[in-house]
Formats: sequence, C-alpha cells, structure tokens
Amino acid sequence: MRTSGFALASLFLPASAIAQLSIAYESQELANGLKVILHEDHSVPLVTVNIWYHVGSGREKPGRTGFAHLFEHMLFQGSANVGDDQHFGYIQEAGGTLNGSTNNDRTNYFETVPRQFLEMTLWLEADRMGFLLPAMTQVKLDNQRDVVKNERRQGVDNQPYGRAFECIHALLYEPAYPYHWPVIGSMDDLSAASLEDVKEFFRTYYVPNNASLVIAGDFDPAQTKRWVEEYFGGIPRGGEIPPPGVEAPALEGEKVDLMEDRVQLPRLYLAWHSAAIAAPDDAELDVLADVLVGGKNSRLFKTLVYEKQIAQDVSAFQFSRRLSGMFMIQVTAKPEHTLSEMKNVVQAEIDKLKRSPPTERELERSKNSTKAAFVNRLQSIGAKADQINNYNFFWGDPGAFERDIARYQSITPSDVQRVANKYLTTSRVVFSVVPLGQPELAAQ
Amino acid sequence: MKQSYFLTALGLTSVLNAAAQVDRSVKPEPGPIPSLALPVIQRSLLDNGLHVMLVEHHELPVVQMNMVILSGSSLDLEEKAGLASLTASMMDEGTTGRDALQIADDMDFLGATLSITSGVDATFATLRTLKEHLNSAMEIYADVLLRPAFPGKEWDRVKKTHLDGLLQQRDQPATVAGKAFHRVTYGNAHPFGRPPDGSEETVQSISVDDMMAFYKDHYVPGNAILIIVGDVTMTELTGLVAAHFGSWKSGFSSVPRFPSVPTIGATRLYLVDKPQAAQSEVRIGHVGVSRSNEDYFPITVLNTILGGQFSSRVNLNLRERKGYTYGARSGFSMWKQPGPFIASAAVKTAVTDSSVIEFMKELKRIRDEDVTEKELKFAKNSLIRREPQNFETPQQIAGQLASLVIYDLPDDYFKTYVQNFEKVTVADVRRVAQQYLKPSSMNIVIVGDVAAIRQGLENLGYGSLQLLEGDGRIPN
Repeated sequence: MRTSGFALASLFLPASAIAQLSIAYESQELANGLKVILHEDHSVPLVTVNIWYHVGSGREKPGRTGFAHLFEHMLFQGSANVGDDQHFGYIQEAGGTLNGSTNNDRTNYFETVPRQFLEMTLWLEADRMGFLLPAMTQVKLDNQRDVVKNERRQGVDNQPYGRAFECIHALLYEPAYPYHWPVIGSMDDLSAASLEDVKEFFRTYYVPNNASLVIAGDFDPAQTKRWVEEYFGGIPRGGEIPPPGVEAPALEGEKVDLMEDRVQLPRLYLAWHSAAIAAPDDAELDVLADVLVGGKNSRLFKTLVYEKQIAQDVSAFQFSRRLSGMFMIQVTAKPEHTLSEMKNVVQAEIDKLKRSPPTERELERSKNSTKAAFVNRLQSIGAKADQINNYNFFWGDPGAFERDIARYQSITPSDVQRVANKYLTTSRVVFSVVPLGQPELAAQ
Repeated sequence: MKQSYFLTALGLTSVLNAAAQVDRSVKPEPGPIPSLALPVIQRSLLDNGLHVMLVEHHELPVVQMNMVILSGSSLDLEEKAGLASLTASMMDEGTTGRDALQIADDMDFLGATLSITSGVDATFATLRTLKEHLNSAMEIYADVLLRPAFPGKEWDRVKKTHLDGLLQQRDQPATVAGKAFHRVTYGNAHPFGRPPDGSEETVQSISVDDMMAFYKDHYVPGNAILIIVGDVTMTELTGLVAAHFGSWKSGFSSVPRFPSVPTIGATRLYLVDKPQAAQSEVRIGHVGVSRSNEDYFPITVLNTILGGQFSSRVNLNLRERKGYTYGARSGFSMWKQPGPFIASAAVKTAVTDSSVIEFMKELKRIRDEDVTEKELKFAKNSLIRREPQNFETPQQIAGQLASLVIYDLPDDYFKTYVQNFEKVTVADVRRVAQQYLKPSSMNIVIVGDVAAIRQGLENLGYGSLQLLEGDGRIPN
C-alpha cells in the first residue's frame, strides 16, 4: 500500500462464531511526527476524536508529583483561539461528550460529537496542541490547582481506604521508580507547581511527535485527512523524547505495613511485581486473577465469601503498565475477623494453584468471559478509539486487537500454574487498613 | 512511509495552500445535520400477556435482553424497606432446578452476564450474551426469572453481606448525605424518605417468605416487558421466547397507592458530623416533579442551564471561578411520583458556608432573572444534538425503550423530542424556575466536620442547625 501512504489493515478474528469482527484502520505519520489513525464506523452519525500524549505521572520530577494530571486540567482552560472554559462549552453545545484522563504512562483527551462537528473538534484539539501557552495564566493555574486539590480530597482523602493505593505503591517501588508516587500527587507538590513548570512540561511533552490521534466513527476519510493536515500539519515537531530507562523493579522479601483509617471493616492488600502490559505472562496473569476471583465459583470468592463467609468481598487483578506490572489481591474481612486470618486462607488457595493447575472448566469459563468482553468493547466508537490508541502505544501496533485475543485463547491450565509460581512469591507487600485504634486486626 | 499522506492524496501544492489558508481564529462551522435512523421497534405479545419489544442491531454478534418488571423500591412498605432490592438480588441465588453456584457456573461458561437490580419504579433483569449462545443463555435466564427458589441458606449469607454493606456505607460521606437528604425531605412514612436498600432493622425483618410473596405479586407477565436489542430477528426470536417464557403463568400486579409528600417549611440546615473530614458533602433541595409533568421539556432545559452539565452555572461558579470543588451539579429525579430536586457538591471544609451562599445565589438568580438567549440556545442545542448518543449501543437503546414503557411515553416520543425542546422559550424557563424551585423552602443537608463548619453556617441566617444521626434520623 505504498502508493496511498496510509497503511491499511483489517483484522479478522479466528474463532468461527465471531468471524465477522474486525477493526479496520488506516494510519500514517504526519511530517511533524504526529501519528494519525482512522477507523470508520458508519452505524450512528457520531465521530470520536481521541488523542494520547505519551506522557504520564511517571515522567514527573521529584517535588512535582501530580503535575501531569494538573497539566491535563490546564488543557481545558483555553488556548490562543479558544476562550476560557470554551473547550467544554463548544463540545457540550454540539451535544458532545468529552473528558481527559492521566495515568502513570500516558494522558488522553477525547470527544464524541455528532459527525457535523468533526472539523470543530479537530480545530479545538489542534489549538491546544499547538497554541496553549499564549493563553496560560497564573490565575487559571491557581484555580485548577484548587480544583485538583478538591479532586484529591473527594477521591482519596475523604474516601474510606482512599490512601491505601499510594501507600502500597510507595512500598512496592523505590523512590526514584516512576510508579512510586500517586498520579494525583501530594498537596505540597501541587502547591509548589509554577507557571514555568507548566510551560516547560508543555514544550517537552505536548509535541506532535509524542502524540497519537485516533478518529473513529462516521466521517468522510478524504475530507478528514485534509482537515488533519490543515489543523495539525503546521504544528512544529518537538525535541526527541527518549523512552524512560529504568531497571526492572525488584523487592527483597516481604514488606509488611498498616494504616489506621475511618473504616468499619479492615481490608488486606497483597501486591507483587508482575509482567508489563503486552509482555509475556501478562494475559496468563489476567486468567490467574479470573481463576481466583471471577464469579461465584472462583477459588477465593467461593472459599472466603461463599463458604466460610469470613470476608465481605474479594478482588484480584493484573494491573499491567508500560514499564512493569503489579498483581494485587484485596480482601475485606467481615466483623470479628482479622486480616491474618484472611492472609492465611488466601495463601492456602495460592499454594493449591502452585501445586496443581486449575481445571479445564475454570479455564474455559475465563476464556469465554474474556471473548465476550472483547466483543463488548467494540460497541461504542469511544471505547474503540481508546483501544486503538492503547494498542498503538503499548503494543506498537494499532491493530493488535487480534493478537490480544489470541493470546488468551492459547493459555493452558499449566500456564496459570506456572505464573502463580513465578510471580506470587514471598517477595511482596502485605498492607492492612484497619479501623482507628485497632492495629491488632492487621495481618502479621 | 515518511512522507505525509496528503502528498499522494492531493498533491503538494493544493495542500500547502490549504494549510496556509486555515484561519485558526474562527471556529469551524458545523456541516449539514445528518439524519438519525431511530430504532425501529417490533412488538409481539405472548398468550400469557408478556409484551416483547425488539430492535434489530446487527453490528456485532451480541444480544441484549432486558426484562423490565414494572415494580421497584417505591412499593416497599415502611417496615420492609429494601424488599424490592433484596428480592432482585436473591433471584440468581437458586432456582427449583439449579443452585446458586450452578447458575453462576452455567452463565460464566457461556461468557454471558446476568444482572438483576431494582430501581425506584422498576426492576431490571438484564442478560448480555454472544449470539452463538443465545438459546442456552435464555434457558438459564428464564429459569432464574420463572422458577426462583429463594433458598434460606443463601438468604442467610446475602443478608449478612447486605448488612455489613450497610455498615460500610457509614464511611462514605456522599452516601450518608444522600440518605440523610431523602429522610429529612420525605420523612420515613414516604418510600422516597427510606433508603431503597433498607436499614438494619428492616433488612433483619425480611424473610424468604416476604421475597417469595413480592416475587409472586410482581414478577408476572402482565407486569413485565421483555426488551431485546441485538443481532437477532423477530422470526428467530418468536420460537425462542415462546419456548422459554411461554410457560410463565399469567397475572397482573395491582396499582399501589402512595402517601402524600410532606411539605417543607422555611429553608433549614441539617448537619451530619464527620470529625476531621477533608470535605463537606452538600445537598440542597426539596421535592421536585414526576416524569409525567407537563413541563418536562422546559424543566430539563432549566436544569441544563443551572447544573445539568459541566458548562452549567453552578459548576462554572463553584468549580471554575471559585475553586471550591471538583464538581457542582443539580438535578431533578423524575419518577412516577415526584422525586427530589437536589443541587450538590463536595466542597473544601473551609468554604462550606461560602458554597451554600453561592448555591443559593444561583438558585435565586435563575428565578429572579431571565436566562440569556445565548444560554437558552446553548442548552437546547446541547440537549437536541445529544440525541444520537442515546442510541449508539444495544444497552443504550434498551435503556431508552425501558424509559418509554416505564413512564408510558408516547410511541412518537423520540420523533418529537427535538421539536419539544426547540419550543422552549426564555419565558418558559423563568416560569418553571419560579414554579419548581423554592429557595426559601429548601433542605440543606451537610455531612462534614461540624466543629469546623458550624459557626460559619449559623451565620447564614437559616435559624438553628439541626444535627442528624448518620442515617439521617433526628436524634431522640
């Protein structure tokens, strides 16, 4: 497909029953390095614009935690040709929905609008990619700093168990490791962020060669390509951004800690280092989590919640990120039960899986649920667009959908047993959140 | 592959011209308004009285089924608050032929998901499955809906989990604030004054016999509509529905009577103490309107301007100008009976009193002054143009159909939706603001650090503060 300049790809799932599924796309890189990926879906007259900037909280400097996310807020505060709060205004008057989000690895911005507003949406995104700084003021920064501090109060400080995650990350990762500090940041660091910090962050990371733009939905491809070039083509390329160079994180033995909080029931968290996103063992760890907590018949739910009835809830997940993953199990104990008791039961179930593989039936349940989840992810253009950007950034291939499904379908029971042995070792964080004044409930 | 696509698509010259011509100072005008294909609803009726509505949606090989039972928590009796909700949650805990683990195993093995939850006016049993498993999934779905057993052993477990869940809610300030607001606004004698998930005492009093009786009274074909959206045709479906639901014994549910809603006197402040809270959860409002209110469209426009989205007055004021909160909003809960109007936010402790002042200022301003033509146009455009987003996925389409049947909306509702919003004028908004918002007669409920906020709130002039228990009860 050299002549078109757009790489064409169409994905077809191998499984017979869902053979008609595909995510067809075209992609190209503009001269300034912006990666553009188009996916047509004409079922409803809507279109989604989804931009990923390949920067997250992992790129923050010491003393400036929370900065990537604070910066995300600033992108809604107007740019050279877009007034204060007008980004939200224009999209909402168009009947659209929009938001942005920041995690350790990336920041995304997305709008879904009726198709006739595509050009306006591209204009808005291009204006803040190319012309943000002329509109940036101290007043706006101070206002959004207050908003973000309230976001932290609402989502973390005023929530039961709200600070557990940042405590666990601080224990699991060395201070210099990019996942050591929370995405939302600390109050002190948020207070310290300056207008100059904003400007420097923008110049370094919010450049076309560090971004990817997905347009998905009901649009005319020829017209859309012209608009993309008109609005984004003139934005200058920025400096090169080297990939983060870090050692794989390691943990020597077990780290045990606890926090007292305004909670009625104590909760145990077990956390291990695990595989990075799309790396070998990543999918196997998802299936392991499913075998442990997916549905009433899963190992931990059935034992702790259904049969013994000593836990209020249990969850587990493979939290895969770009540089490395974290596997976590959480159990909330019922009244009158301690977290040491929870830990012992969880350990016994882990040991069982280490000794003998799960049954074929357990594997089939997990695979079939996974297959259905993949299909459901294709229902909205917003979800598809974000998925394409996800594959582009983490897999280096916008069309990794097929490969992603395929890796689950080939997993065997002994693969699950193998990853349980490899990752769920005694090198882990054991963290307890207990009601105020009841440290004796914590896991030993 | 390094060159940009336009080089081949258009030729270098034309693109450079286009790039040079783009004027970023002007917002691009929208293109022509596309036509929206509204879902085509096919209907059928089983001999036992079960209504079936189908919208074909062949984009993906999935089928969404939503059995809407036209009874919800608004039917709960005072001493059995939580019954509708707990009956729903016990439905998949055992049938006459399958135990709880078997139901879950069979569903999970198909990769299908089943959820049964109750709302205020209805209960929703939702099945989502790949088309290839439609028949098998429907068999389990019908088993659960037609032959639930309410096993005592499972109820003992579910009850305990539910009670411990109620205990955990005490730590969640937003939940506490919502429950307290409903309690002081409607009183415990009205179903909207009681939590739909019950209280410790009412849950303790609920037995499997109560649930079986609720099931028999309300889960009957004459009180249900089966909504199906997905990759299936009426021809394929007719046999399946008859096979799985044909044996459902016919019956109708009686129409409930509601107690009248208490009236609120002068605006009053209620506090629930949460020592050292990082924020105050604020709820301000009163009894609102029912879904059948003739002013539905102007009220919706009013609320869109006041607090219905990010670009609304209360959010732009409290968040974007003042920085008091991560988000402020308002909303009318429109049910068969008048649900509440509530303006809400979680605000920094130190500005709790200032936040109440700003909320009240906005509530008064929208009554005392006309909204601008620009605001009106913005809100109407926003609501009208949002319509396609209501019909993108099978779940959304099924949800739209459910609201049609629950609230008896006319068949042409989606067709006339746009023109009904277009008709709303500045005068209409002013009129409904004056009619349905009464800032001088509202309840203000705040969950926060009383020691830190009390003084400031006392100075607002709403009389003496009333302290509430965590569940919203006025202490003895």
